[in-house]
Amino acid sequence: MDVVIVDDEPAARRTVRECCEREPDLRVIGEFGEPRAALEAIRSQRPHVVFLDIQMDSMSGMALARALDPEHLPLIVFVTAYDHYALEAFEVSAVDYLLKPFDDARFRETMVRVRRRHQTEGSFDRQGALAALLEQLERGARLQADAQPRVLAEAGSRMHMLDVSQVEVVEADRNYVRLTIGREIFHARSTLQQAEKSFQTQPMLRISRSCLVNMSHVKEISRTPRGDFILVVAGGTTVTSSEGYREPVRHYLERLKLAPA
Amino acid sequence: MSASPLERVTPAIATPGWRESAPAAAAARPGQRSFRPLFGVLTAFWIYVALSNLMYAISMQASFSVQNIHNVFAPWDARVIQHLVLYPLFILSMRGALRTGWQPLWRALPLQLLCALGFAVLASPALVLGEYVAALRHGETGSLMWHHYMEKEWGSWNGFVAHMVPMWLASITSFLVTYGFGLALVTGFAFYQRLRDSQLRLASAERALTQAHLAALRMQLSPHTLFNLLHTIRGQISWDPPAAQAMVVQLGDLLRRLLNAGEREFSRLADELQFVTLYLELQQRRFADRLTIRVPLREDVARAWVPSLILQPLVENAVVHGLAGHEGPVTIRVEAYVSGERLVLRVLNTIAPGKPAGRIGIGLANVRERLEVQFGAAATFSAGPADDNLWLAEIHMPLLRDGPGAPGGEPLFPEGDRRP
Repeated sequence: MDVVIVDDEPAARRTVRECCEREPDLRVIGEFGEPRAALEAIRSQRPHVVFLDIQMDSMSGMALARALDPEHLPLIVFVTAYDHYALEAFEVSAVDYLLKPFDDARFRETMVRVRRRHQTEGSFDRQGALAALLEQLERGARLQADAQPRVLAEAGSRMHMLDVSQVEVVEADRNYVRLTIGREIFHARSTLQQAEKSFQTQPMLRISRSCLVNMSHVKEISRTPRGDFILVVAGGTTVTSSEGYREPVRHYLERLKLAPA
Repeated sequence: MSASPLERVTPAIATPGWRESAPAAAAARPGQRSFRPLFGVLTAFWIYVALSNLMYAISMQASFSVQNIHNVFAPWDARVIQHLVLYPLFILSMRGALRTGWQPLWRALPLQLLCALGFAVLASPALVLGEYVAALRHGETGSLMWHHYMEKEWGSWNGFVAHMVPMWLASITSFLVTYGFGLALVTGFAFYQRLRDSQLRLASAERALTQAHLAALRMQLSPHTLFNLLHTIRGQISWDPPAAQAMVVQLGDLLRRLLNAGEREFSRLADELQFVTLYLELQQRRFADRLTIRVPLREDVARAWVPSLILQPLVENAVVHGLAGHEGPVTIRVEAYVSGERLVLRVLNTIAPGKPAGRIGIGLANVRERLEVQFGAAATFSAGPADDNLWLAEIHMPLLRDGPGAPGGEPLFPEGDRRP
């Protein structure tokens, strides 16, 4: 297989090259410290495998990958040091990656997967995997369950670490906030303002002074004769907006074209 | 020992979460505290004053009327007008009084008195105005009390003054008392508001402090261990390059996990045990044959949550403690199991028989403090010799499970939709 190495650090390129030289089926046909030159070379020489550093000064490895011709996509192995979001994205995607520092053993493990893909995958699979990875990176790994922020909450004598994306309603209750998931109620020691911060990743809508609703769980909206909004969440809990928040709620819903008359 | 070089890395990668509670938002609030609630209190008080003055005048007039004494008290509509005129004055002077405050007393007191007098002095003229307007309304200015007296009895300006000045003084003293009550009420209310605000601020500041403190306590890989590892690697680079490479990679993994775990308050037990295993494997390379490690993972506790890196100081202590004072082999065992609603974490290490029990290190003190901050009395930590050749460190804490799974039902919003 023909290999191109892209990394702006000469020592890092050399490490990859030496690893490649120990594999009889790999032939390094180019090494580039400058992403744009690498892009040209990959387009014209069409290597089978590209080792691509993610953090480069002039152009990120991600941007380079995006600029490649989708019809002739090489097998890309992203090489990265510490990048929290990238790591989580890689873990859930079908694209190969190497974490710096790596040794021969890790390199060989990766090459086993790369060879298998080289034999079985078409460019269509690669496009899909790459697109999924890039999308995941843009979302900042928000969808991975364990990456979501969690809140410590009690239900009776049991303690739970609740995934904020599952919480439907957050209500102030003296020194606590009351969290609703389905039919279950949890209490967390916090103020509503603090809770609002913990729920930043969620589409929370404040419908009264003491109540936040996670709009991703809302399944029904109607209005009272006075014009207040009644929201029903997936777990069946019903909450009503207060007079002071009627306008902001209406504005929010109209933006999503969901406001009932 | 707590000044690990890694600590400096943490703040830059802190995630939004409970840790970054809202001290800034809370601190901004008291400055903008509005006069509006106080305004409500004052208005209610003033309505009460107006009604009580009115009722008093009406009832006294009624009892005088029985004795055929007329026009001692001004008519009810005149009094209503008086209180309406005085109302904005009352609110303004109260606002002035609250703004002035009481510090320093020598300067505030004259201003406060001025405020009070300014209000009380106008009470009687306001009644005169009220009577005048009321009379105009009825078209009978002739029946005005002072008009009447002026013509019939006093006959002169001196007579008017002689009669009106005592009435004026009486009204000043009476309205000063009213003013005093109002001021006491509103000062008490404002004080209560300030107290409540400061309590809220204190609570959120405390919380922020706790979170910062916890973040610092999490980062407890001792610099001693870190530099010893680097030194081992440095030696192996020349006499066993593949081993040196492998150690560098493992150290990279360890630091990555350390940084990740440092970002969050809680981690899955399975991740925590993986981290501990990685740490112990690196230590194993340093001490070659002397160290045996056992970290069994039971499936039933793998998904439980524990404070991030809580086990790390315990295994670090187990390595140091276990290896000290002898040349023989050491076995370290890390166990986790559930007992009722509680999670038990145990780190056991063999020790040289007859060796005196060591003191509890700073790492262990931090473990105790973290558990105390997170769970209060609901968690306990103990460390000490279990028998002649076994040392045991044990954590009992509440079992932290996941929440219930997402319930069914079609959401109206597509996933990933964000707030405006």
